[in-house]
Amino acid sequence: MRWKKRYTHLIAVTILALLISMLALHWLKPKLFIAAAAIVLLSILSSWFSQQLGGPLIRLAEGVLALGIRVILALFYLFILMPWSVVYRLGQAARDRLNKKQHSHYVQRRHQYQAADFKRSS
Amino acid sequence: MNILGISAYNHDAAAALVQEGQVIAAAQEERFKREKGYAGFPSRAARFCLDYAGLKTSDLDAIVFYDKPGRRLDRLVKTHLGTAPSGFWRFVGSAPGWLGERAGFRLRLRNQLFALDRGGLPKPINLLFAEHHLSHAASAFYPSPFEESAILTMDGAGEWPSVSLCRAQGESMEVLSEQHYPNSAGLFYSAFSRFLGFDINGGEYKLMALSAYGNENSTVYKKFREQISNSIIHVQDDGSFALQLEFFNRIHDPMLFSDDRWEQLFTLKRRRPEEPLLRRHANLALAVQRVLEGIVLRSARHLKKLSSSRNLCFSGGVALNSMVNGRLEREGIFDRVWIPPAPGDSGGAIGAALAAYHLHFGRPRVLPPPGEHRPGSCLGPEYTAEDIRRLSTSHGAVFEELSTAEIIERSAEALSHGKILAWFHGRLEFGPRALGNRNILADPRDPNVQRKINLKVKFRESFRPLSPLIGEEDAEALFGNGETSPYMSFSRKLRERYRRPLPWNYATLTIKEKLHTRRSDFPAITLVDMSARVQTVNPLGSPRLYSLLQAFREKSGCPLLASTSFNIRSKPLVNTPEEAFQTFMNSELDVLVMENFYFEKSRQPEWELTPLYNL
Repeated sequence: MRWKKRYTHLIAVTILALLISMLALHWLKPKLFIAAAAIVLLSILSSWFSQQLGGPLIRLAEGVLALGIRVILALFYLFILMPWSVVYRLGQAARDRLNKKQHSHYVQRRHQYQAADFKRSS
Repeated sequence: MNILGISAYNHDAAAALVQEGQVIAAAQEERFKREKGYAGFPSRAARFCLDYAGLKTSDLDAIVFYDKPGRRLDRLVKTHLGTAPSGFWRFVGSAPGWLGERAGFRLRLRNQLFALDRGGLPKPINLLFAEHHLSHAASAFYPSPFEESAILTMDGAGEWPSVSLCRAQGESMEVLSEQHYPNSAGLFYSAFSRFLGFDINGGEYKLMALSAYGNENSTVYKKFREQISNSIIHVQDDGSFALQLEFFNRIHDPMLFSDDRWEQLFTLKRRRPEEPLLRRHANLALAVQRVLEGIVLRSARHLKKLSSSRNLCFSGGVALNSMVNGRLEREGIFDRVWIPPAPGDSGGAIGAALAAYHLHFGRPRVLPPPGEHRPGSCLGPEYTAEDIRRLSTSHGAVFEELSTAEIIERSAEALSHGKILAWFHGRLEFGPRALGNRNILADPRDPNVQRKINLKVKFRESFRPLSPLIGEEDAEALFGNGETSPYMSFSRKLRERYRRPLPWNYATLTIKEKLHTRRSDFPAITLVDMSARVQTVNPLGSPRLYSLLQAFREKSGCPLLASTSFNIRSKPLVNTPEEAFQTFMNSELDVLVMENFYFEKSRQPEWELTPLYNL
């Protein structure tokens, strides 16, 4: 378990170092390269250092991901689910008008269970 | 052939192992986790089942999940479609969770199953999925004594169905009709349970018990019943029904109902959990109970017509309502009614495994020969004398180790002297009820015993009923019904000759006054409506408990014992000797009998009370 954590922290730190290296390339600043290399080297040598740097990085990434997912879901809800909901409810209302005359809310199924019924999860 | 059934990720997670068509082990995860109604994955219960049979997951022919997660997801999405935009915040908040759960469901389930073998290498697992209501139906029919039967299942909701009408013959099973969510009798009852201040998935028992305190002749009751029938639910002649959805919050679980509308409709404030219970609450509970009974009875009549069967198996969460079951039995729609010991979601683990055995693998069903007694509900772990000895030594407890005959004699003696006794024996029960292996027992003639057990032993509401344990041969004489009821499924009326005359104004008394009125020769087990949730004891099925009943009868002349489950409020039934001893020492129990070990409270050393949440 500890090894798994250390491994995760090292990956996070390496990604950070890669980002710094890309900036170094963009701005042509060799000092940034040295800083990125130093971060990776220190992280390999010291688990404390990798934890101090990697831990917050992971939490930040998780936060950004959670926020991103919620933003995507909110957009999905507003622009896809709501219009779909209008169509769905219009269809349902029409069905309900037809069903009002029915004297039963049971749905007839008449299905004999077979081996194949167990294969799928949906 | 070995099949593991799993019920998980909803409530009452459980695992069950079926070997050659027989359920040999089953347990609920809550009993290990000590968290009532635990809703995660039942890893410890599954581990117990495998260990009990000496198996690894690689020895299993199939693992069967008790519902179809893909169809559940479909229901969730369509529910949002039907309610948008009111579910916006809930969707954004909870969708990442359920999308992740359902999308990666197979992977997650597989990972948890592999973890059972403590990190063993992944091997292909034959993972199967049974429909939720098929799991309920199978859990009732396959262990039943019937060659053919009609099957009624009714609960909150499965994937889409909330009610299923089925028919079964031999090993084959056919679903005839279904009623779909959001029209659900379980949700209807749970919503009222919450409105009256009780929990969902647990508080429904309290609503049922409270309903007995209502007055069927009162105008308040009649008004409530009319309001429910006119505004909340429309029930058809065939038992199908439509909930009036403007009164329900389908998205805003766990509230279930629309607060303001209900308060306006019933001119009654929603009751908070610790607020006092009033007559109006009891009358509303009675109205709800009667509507539910109406739904079940009409559905049963309709199913009788469809199936032409003389037998009925009844399962799903609604089948935990012993008052409904009692009505179903008394109405005589079917000649025989069978209800399994765990008709709720935990029993789905057994049903899924049995359904796969008979319907997927096509193995024949073999009915037990008449008179043969199978383990019934006692399918969980058991503990040795060495375990109990070790526990006693570690706590410095004072005990006596006796022979079986002596322990029965001493226990009966203690009971006849008015002691409250905790009884711990054999394998732990599967299902919500203690059925003779983890019980609290007392003399039912003592008028104070119900209050004492409720308030000082179990720390729960004083109106909660105790149940009678009675030998099969005596059931007819006391309750006018000789049919066996080994799983405490049916509520039956006490015969007139054991009832006491009631005060002329009994119907108008408050809940507390009714509770304190002596209604019968057995006040501890008689509900205010003269009914009791009977458990019949068979000398072959439960020889030890039967001997205790006989010994008590010899000493006291009383053929009954008052019984309730061995636990305290909001905690699951005790599982281990340690939990039994802790509960014994932290409550006002007088005697603890664990197998052949006899513990008396008065002889125990000083004990520092443990906070109850640790039990």
